[in-house]
Amino acid sequence: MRTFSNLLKSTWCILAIAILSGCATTPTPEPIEVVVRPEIVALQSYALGIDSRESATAIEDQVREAMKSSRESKRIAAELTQVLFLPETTIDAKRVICQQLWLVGQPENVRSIAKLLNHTETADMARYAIERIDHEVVDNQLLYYLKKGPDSAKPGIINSLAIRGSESALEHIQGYVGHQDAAISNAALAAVARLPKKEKT
Amino acid sequence: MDKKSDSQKKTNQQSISRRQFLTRTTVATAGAVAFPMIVPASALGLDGTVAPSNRINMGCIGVGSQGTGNLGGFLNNPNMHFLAVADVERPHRNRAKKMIDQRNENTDCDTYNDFRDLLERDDLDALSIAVPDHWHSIPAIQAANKGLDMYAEKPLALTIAEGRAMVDAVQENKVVWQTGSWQRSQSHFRHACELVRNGYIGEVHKVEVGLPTGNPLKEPTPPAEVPDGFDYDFWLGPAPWAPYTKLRCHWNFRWILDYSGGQLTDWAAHHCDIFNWGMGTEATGPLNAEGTGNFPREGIWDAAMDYMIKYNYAPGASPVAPKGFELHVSNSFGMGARFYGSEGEIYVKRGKLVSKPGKLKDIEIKDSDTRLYKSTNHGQNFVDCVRSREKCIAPIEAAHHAIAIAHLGNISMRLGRKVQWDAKKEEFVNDPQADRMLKRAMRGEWHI
Repeated sequence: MRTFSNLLKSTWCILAIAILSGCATTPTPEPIEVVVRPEIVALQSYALGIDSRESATAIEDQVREAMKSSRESKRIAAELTQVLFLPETTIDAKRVICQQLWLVGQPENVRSIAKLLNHTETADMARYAIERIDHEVVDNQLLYYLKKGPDSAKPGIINSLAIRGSESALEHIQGYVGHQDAAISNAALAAVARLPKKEKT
Repeated sequence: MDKKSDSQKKTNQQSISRRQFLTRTTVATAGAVAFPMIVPASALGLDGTVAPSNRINMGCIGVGSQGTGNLGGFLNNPNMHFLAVADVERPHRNRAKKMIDQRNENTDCDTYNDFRDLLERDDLDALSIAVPDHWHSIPAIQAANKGLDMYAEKPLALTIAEGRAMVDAVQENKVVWQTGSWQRSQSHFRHACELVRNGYIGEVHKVEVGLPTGNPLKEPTPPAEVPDGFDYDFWLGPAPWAPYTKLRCHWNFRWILDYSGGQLTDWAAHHCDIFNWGMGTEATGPLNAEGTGNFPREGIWDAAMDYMIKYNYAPGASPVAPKGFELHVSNSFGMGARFYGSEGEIYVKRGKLVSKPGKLKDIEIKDSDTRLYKSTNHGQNFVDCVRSREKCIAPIEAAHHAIAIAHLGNISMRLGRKVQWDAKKEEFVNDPQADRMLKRAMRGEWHI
């Protein structure tokens, strides 16, 4: 695993990714050449409280700088998303990455990030990353994993859909009212009360 | 022993009835003076005590250092009768129970790990809430929805959106709210603000608010075993999961952006509040914010240590600044609020009020001047307002607008650029990136 990390560091692992539109809700693609910069590679093995947080603050600096330009925002978001799924990336590194994706994540990253919703350990950090992205792809992915993901992730997913005011979520969430898991049922009840109701035509 | 109440949920109607009862019994008790007494004077509160039926039944949520300090003060107030406490740390709630039981001369105080169990009780009128910032919104909104009045600690909320949700819940449920921004109940702060508000320093063109410097932390801070009796997962609550270390919890939470906003938010809730009070900007906000900050590069404490944030206010936003004015907030100024006017200056901080010219501070405010809300006892003001249903001296709307100033500063610093703010809509101007930072996803089951 270290060898892989070193390889990334030494070569900067140039990955060309053409982000393709997978469905009607995916935003217009813009091919971006993703060069995973060494600061992000260095974060991969991060252990909170044990390693220096300097590897995380280096990413914060990079994100802050990137956010000055739309293109650079997309670039660094793609890099962060890429590293999120490398096998060597620790849970603490994923947490740091998702907190930065909260700021800089793009609609085209959502389908990838949302895969974290499928795991109890990472579902909350995925929501942290995508909940504030203003695009329907987020609602679609949340709904997808509401159905497919583990029960442990469902209260949080329902809460995110409610906070987003996702009109399309209501009919899906209603089915969870009265769920045997009280946390799911309570979240659904609160969401149903909060979500906008579709106007009858 | 902790107790989980199985009593039915308290409805707003029940709460209002209790409230009406409190108000009516106040009148009845006063009226009783004229009639022959057939019950002991103490039972009617005629010996300086308060009749049991006329006391405000209180619960505490959060009894760490701040909450215990508040409780200690409240226990001296005969109008308050504490029945229960909730805290995620057993030693804290046991300590609070001991204090309350000693005061009540019984062993009846109930303790809860989960504040939601305390909120299920049907015998409470009001709460004292003192929890970490990331926990401010959830219990407050739930309590408001149950019709409970609250004395709650500052800074109001972790994010601007949470603060707005709290304001809405308090207003919709018509509950009484007192923020722990107690400087308002100090006469020299009020006098300073009245001098500014009435134009005794002329037109104001700049205000400086000085706050403390943040704290760095040396590494490493390795994860540690959670102490027995501490429900750490509940303590984290809506915040992102992180391994336990004592340097993360209790008093130290305020240095970590997942739970707080650093010294900037902690003290803005005092001195930016005074700034707003003096300028009459309690219901509005700046046009923009541009901050630079020095954030720790290592250690788990990540809130800004040094900071300088500059804001512009629109002409007329303040009645004493027709041409608009600048607000500067920084740790490089002396603590407090310094108002610069065309005809003088006012500088006010804890224990001190100075002016230029020196005699300006001695001016007596005239009856014809704008007078600000007067309170000389922050806790008693809360009690009085619970009975009268009037607004407290530190209402929730003012707390929201004071802390929004600090949040805007933190957002600007974290983005590394100037942000434009629409104070009426409470959103940034054509800035979806900054808008993201108005709220954060809450962990798991937690939501507002």
